[in-house]
Amino acid sequence: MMKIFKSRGWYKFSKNPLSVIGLLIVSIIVLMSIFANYLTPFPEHAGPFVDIPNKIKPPSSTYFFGTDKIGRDTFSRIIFGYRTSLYLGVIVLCIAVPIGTSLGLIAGYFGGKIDAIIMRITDIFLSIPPLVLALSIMAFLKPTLTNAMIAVSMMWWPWYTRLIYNLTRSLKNEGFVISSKIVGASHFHIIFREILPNCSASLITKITLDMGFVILIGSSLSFLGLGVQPPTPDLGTMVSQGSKYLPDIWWLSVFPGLAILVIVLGFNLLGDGLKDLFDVEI
Amino acid sequence: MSNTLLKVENLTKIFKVGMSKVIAVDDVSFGIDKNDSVSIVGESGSGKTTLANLILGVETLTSGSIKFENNELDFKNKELRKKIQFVQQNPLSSLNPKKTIYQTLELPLKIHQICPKKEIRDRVIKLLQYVDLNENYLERHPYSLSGGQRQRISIARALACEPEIIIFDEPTSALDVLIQLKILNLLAEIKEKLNLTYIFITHDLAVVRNISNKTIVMNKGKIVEMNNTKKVFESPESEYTKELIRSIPTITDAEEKSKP
Repeated sequence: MMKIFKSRGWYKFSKNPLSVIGLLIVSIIVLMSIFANYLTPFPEHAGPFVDIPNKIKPPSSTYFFGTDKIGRDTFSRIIFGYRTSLYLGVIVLCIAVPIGTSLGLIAGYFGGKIDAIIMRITDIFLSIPPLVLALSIMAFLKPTLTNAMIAVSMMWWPWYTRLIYNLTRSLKNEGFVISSKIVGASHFHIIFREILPNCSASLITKITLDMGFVILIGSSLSFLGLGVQPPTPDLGTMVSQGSKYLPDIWWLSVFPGLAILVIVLGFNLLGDGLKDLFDVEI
Repeated sequence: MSNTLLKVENLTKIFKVGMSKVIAVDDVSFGIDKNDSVSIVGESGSGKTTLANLILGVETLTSGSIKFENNELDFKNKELRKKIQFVQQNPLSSLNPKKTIYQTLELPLKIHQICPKKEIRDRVIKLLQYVDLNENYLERHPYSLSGGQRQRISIARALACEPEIIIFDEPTSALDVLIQLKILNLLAEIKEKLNLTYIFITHDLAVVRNISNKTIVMNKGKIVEMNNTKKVFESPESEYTKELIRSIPTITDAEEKSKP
């Protein structure tokens, strides 16, 4: 473990303090949401909990970020909301990245008609603004977390197809790819052993940057009432519900809003740090 | 002509660039005997690299034929595929930066099942020894090697397939003079040991004179001269060859005068 901090990569990464801040924010949020049951003061407030005597309490030492109108602790709910957001981000990228990457590899490597078909479909998806596309998909589906994930995945894979397509197109003319062809390697080997590993730096960077954006889109859907439904804690839903009581009960929407800002910022700073570290264009 | 290993007949390659056509290789015919060391020379754009790519199956030919031991070259045939191997000009890009030297060298052995699985490691070490490297290089990555070392790995990879012919595209142009000499000596040694046939694609006439017994001069996709290297240098027939030889940089006046 200590070896990492002595490595050249870490030195390069840590030269920019913002990257380190990003890494810290992301690590803290990830750890907190994994161990939310033990780290939050009121883990039971994540569910359908009611505590009327303590409703609408402003921020205090017991309730760091105050309580909502049925007495649930906003701080605890934010941490559980992070769990929902990260869950959404991870699942969406687990669907979108493999689909987008394999289509990009196939289109870029084989070229010709396959290339034309895949890339034109990709272009169609890319030409529609992401949120509009997700909204129109959600119009057909019931507003649940699973459906929100499907909708966001549907709009996310084309970005990976584009990225990997361009990388594949330039990598396939590299000497080592031609050499492995001459040596007699199969298409499968060339795509997954020669080309894909050389895309990994760009992929990791883009995935990190995208975690923030996926979470933001997920929260936007929830804000519009199309994503996660109560009582499951979600940052977007909390902002939307709290906004009815602005400006008097400000803590109900301001803190979840800031929470979204912090996590998106964290992933962006980390992603930018990785971008400099790997020296890649996204 | 009984021991002609590679026979190229009326080979033509036309590239379509937008609406116009570029004839990169124009009706080229020649034969290469076993144990020959042939140089294909010409300026940039003369079609020599395209010719190599055609023989290697990287490009598809427009018309004509390439025969290996009287069999039409078919690159789907693994047995034929491995017979002609390639060492590239740029040692920087010819090795996958994400693979260790061992992973690079084991690939051809696995594809062509050259040796039993248990012996792959020993075989890779043997290949490294052929090119004057040793087993300490197995787990290293290309970025930790010098240009000359990488070029040696490329040569070892070509040797791994147990080829009959190795094509070298400017094998030494990215290396400094001392390393060039070492690599060329190494190649001569390996050729002797393994009974190989070499084709050099180069514009470095000094290299040509040292390593090849036959020379093919190409200009604008056509062969303008084809003869023993000695004859080509001493009494070149075509104007273009004369011009090429005249342009070799020399140090002494005596050398300058010896040019045709």
